[in-house]
Amino acid sequence: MKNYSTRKGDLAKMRLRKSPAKSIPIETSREIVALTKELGISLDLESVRKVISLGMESLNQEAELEYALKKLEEEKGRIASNFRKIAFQYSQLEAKCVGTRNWFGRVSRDNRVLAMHLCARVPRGKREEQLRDDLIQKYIMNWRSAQNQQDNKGDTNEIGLE
Amino acid sequence: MNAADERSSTHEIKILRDLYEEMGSEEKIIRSIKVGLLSLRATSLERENADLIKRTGDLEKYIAELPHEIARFQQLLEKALKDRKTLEKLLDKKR
Repeated sequence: MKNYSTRKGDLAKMRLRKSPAKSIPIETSREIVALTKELGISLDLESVRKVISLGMESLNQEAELEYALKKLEEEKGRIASNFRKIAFQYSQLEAKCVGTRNWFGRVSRDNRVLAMHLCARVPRGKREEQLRDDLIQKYIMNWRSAQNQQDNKGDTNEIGLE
Repeated sequence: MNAADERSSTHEIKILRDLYEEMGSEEKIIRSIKVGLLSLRATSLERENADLIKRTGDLEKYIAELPHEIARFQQLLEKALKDRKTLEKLLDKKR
């Protein structure tokens, strides 16, 4: 019968002896914890190696970097505030553009229906005939050819009267 | 990640034994990690700022184009409203 407990103990000792890693407590360095959270990185063996190498290669001192970070955060605040202002301005203009475009689309659709009704009517006089032909051309014929062009292109714009 | 893992990851750092020995002291390791993380954060902030500046520039470009687009639709709308009146008039006369 095998003695499993002894074998298990031996393996644990072997792992301990061969363990390539050493633990360092960082309770006192809240900044490290905060920075890793902010950067969204976990400090595994490989990351720690890379971060240490980066820290050793850095030409700047801790205080210089902290000052630069403070300045960058301030700059970010200014840029973000400007971005919000511009984005608000853009959203208002875009809403106006979409509103006008939709209104034009609705009126054009109404006009198309009216032009279709007009097709069934006989004009009185040359002037009326000209007006009638122009409007039918614009709201039915041109619209159809624009639709065909869009179908060929795979475009979904329904206005087609520009 | 379970509670034990999280606790260990936030309260201690595991470092390769040879690197630990090469560095000499824990203070030096902690300082290097701090400087490394600070420079990473600075790089990341620089990128975030550059990205925000680019997005602001793109929006400014669209903002410059939108008034022309609005004017174009307003012009088309005015014509369409005028046509509607004519169409209604023509249809009304026939009744």
